[in-house]
Amino acid sequence: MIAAYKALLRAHIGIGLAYRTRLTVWVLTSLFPLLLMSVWLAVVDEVGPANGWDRSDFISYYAAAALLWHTTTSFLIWTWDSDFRSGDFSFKLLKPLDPFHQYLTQEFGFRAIVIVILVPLLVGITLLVPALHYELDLLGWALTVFAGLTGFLLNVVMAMAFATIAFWTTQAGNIYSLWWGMGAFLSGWVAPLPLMPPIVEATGRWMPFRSSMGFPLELLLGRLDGAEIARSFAVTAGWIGIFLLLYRLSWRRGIHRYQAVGG
Amino acid sequence: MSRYIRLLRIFWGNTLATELEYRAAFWANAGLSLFWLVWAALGAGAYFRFAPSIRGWTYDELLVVLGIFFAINGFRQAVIGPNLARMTEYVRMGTLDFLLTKPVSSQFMVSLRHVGVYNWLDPLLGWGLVLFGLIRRDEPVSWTSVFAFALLTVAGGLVLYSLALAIQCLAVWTIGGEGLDDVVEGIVEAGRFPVQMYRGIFRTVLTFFIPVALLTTVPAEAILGRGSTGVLVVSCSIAALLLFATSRLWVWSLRHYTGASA
Repeated sequence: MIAAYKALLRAHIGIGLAYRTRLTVWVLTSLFPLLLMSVWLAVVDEVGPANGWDRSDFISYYAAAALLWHTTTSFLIWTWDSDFRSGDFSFKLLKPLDPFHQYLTQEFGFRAIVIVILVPLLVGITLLVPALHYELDLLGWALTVFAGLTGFLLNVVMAMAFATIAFWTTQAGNIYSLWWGMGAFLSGWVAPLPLMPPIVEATGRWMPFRSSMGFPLELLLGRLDGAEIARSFAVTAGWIGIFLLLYRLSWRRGIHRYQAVGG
Repeated sequence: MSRYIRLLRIFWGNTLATELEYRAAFWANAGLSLFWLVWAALGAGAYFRFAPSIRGWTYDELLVVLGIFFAINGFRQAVIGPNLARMTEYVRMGTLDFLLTKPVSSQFMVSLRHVGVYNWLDPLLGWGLVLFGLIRRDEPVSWTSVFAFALLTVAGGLVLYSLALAIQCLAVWTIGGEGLDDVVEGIVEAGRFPVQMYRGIFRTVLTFFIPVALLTTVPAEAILGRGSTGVLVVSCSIAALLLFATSRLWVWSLRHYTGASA
């Protein structure tokens, strides 16, 4: 199993590197979190700190959000959809390894490259921009990285559970984007959750979207106490369990319906 | 000109006929568009919990900008995207050689040949939001403003078209052009907010180097009655100039095209 993972990871990193121009363009053009940050800074200019969040808080929040966006967002559903339509899915089924692992390593492989590009860039920026400050001890950093990792895992498993809808409809992308679009509000992406209306904040804390965005970010800014951290990890773990179960159930029923379109 | 209109009718009519086979998919996408529009409008509200107006823009006025953004983004997805996405393939597979032999303008073939059908309703939805914002704002809108808005909307569309064409020229030179449509998407995405909300270098770049301001901010200011004849004239001139310059650029870059396929 470990050998298979090694080989698959290497293959997918290779595939990712083949598209490095695309990747660079993608990294450079995703200025979106910085645009959101810019608007918040305009708000701070206008009326002073919002709910105790000042300029440097927003800058620190969104700089890290950009990195998290690139590292934890799963595009698996689109790969899956196109595999389904082109018939490539049949090849994946033929390999002696559950497609789950093939897709998971694919996601990890692409992330690895993004991290190699983005992390040095972000470290450089952190040192250059005085407004960026993350006052964390070693444990805080470790927890943040771990939160990002579990959040990523949750995103992949969630996408996988949704992807199995394609067994019945041959495409799952639209439904997933609806779900993900709702998530943009509940994750801390559009605005940090503590700045949302109380009902949105409360909902967000129990939904799976915050695990890969708002949770690690608030950890990074040192705004969470021990109990909240434990609760958030529990929420992440719970959702991973739920989606894994859904995926397994749906897979078992759906695979019998697979008709291998395309090819 | 009439020949091109006839060709467009054939090309686009064909696509439409194919896609109308999937009526359910069309309406599902229209539903999705509406969903995104509502979410975007609600999301923008988050900022205004803390300030009644940001850099001189109230929530209702921001809705107008958002509506215009939605309209132009729909235009991007329907017309710009499908053609831009094919450009790499044209160059790499040598399809471009084949397109060049056709007895019509090559610029027409690479930039308008294809059309997506899922986002045709987006401009309507977007303008609906503009109307909604104006009604909520509850201030009279003069006919002159509406006229200026219409002109500037066309100018904005032309600016976007020119930018996309410039990027297509780039694809001719670099051959590898994957992700070029993402660049255009990124540019348009910046038009979600009025340029005044951006700061420092961002604002300078978005106003002067990549004229995102022309896409959404300027038309919004016009319909809100904040425009001026000067801005109108300058904006339309920039649009015309860009269109002319990029058409020349296209011809020029073709002169350096040697044919890519074996």
